[in-house]
Amino acid sequence: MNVKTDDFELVRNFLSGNEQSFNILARRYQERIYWHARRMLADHDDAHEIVQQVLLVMHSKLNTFSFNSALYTWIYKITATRCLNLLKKKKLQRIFTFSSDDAVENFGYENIIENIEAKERFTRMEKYLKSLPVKQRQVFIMRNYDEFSYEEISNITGKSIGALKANYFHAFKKMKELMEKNDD
Amino acid sequence: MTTDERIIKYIENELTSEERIAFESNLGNSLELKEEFEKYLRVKNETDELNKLKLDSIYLDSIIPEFRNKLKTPQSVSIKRDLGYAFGVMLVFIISIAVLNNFLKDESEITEIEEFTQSLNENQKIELLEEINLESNDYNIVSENISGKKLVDILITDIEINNEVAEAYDIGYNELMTDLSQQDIEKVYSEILNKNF
Repeated sequence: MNVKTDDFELVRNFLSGNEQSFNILARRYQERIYWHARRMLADHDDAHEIVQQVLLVMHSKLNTFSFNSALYTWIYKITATRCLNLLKKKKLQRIFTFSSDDAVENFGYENIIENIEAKERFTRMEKYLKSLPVKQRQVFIMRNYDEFSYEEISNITGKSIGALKANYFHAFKKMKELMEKNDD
Repeated sequence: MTTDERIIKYIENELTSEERIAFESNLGNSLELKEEFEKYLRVKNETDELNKLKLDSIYLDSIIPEFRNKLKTPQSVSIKRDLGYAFGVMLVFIISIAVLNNFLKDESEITEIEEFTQSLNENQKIELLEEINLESNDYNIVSENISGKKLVDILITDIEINNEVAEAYDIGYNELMTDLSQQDIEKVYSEILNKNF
């Protein structure tokens, strides 16, 4: 049985009243939800909040899942939307509270990332990603970390493949420039 | 295609086989291209390495229990958000009603004037204009062959000028014609002459 079929069966079981099936689905996807949110938001608490929000939405809205696409695509759409909404909210909060982008960032990685050696590199990459405009950041993360094709990203975000490719090109170029600058 | 685009497409495996062969040949011949290529490759490699990161299992195990707790507790944030939306919608609704009301009021006023002028026969139109003319000997309004539209325009102008008077004294439209003060009449004449003749 492949993952897709297994997901569908778990969804059906949950919709019939089996909460354990939902827990299995949550455990299966929680880490991927966390990492996408973490890379988009560059903050542990925000990423954690997104995970909780997405699980709550899944729990209340799984009855609307149409089984036309993979479950992960459906979950991903919710995650991507919630991340963008939170970014907009934080931007407005910064405007109204006159705070800067340099406010204390909560990387919070000390206890949650197993590989200690990678922590420094991860923190650096997180800063680079945060420097990218949101649309570029999103497509760069979805291509490189989530390994979606342009077609899948287009389906999730609603953007044209041409626009996505352009954003990806600019993001890749900017990341290269940021790494060069850091070396200097 | 720029050099950067070629490099990125090569790394992403998006070049055609011919383009790929040409690029690899260039790569062997150009030090500058090789240096640029390696910078881009480094981005890709760093990204791939960090894909291997895993979250601590204690943290992962805490996610679902916290979610289950939240499921039991009413969400105060969403109530505040719902109230916010409700207030916003109500505000937009009230503003729309006020704007629409103002718009419709103007429209109905013009409609009333049009209906009034259409109800007049030629003799009544002449009488009305002569009455306006009668109050002051300084001006003469040409009353013959005046079109219905022109008469409406004159009356609308007249109404606009005298709206303040009408509102202040709660004067109906028909009363305006007979109850204008000398000052108001002269004001009306000036406006009509300036605008129409």
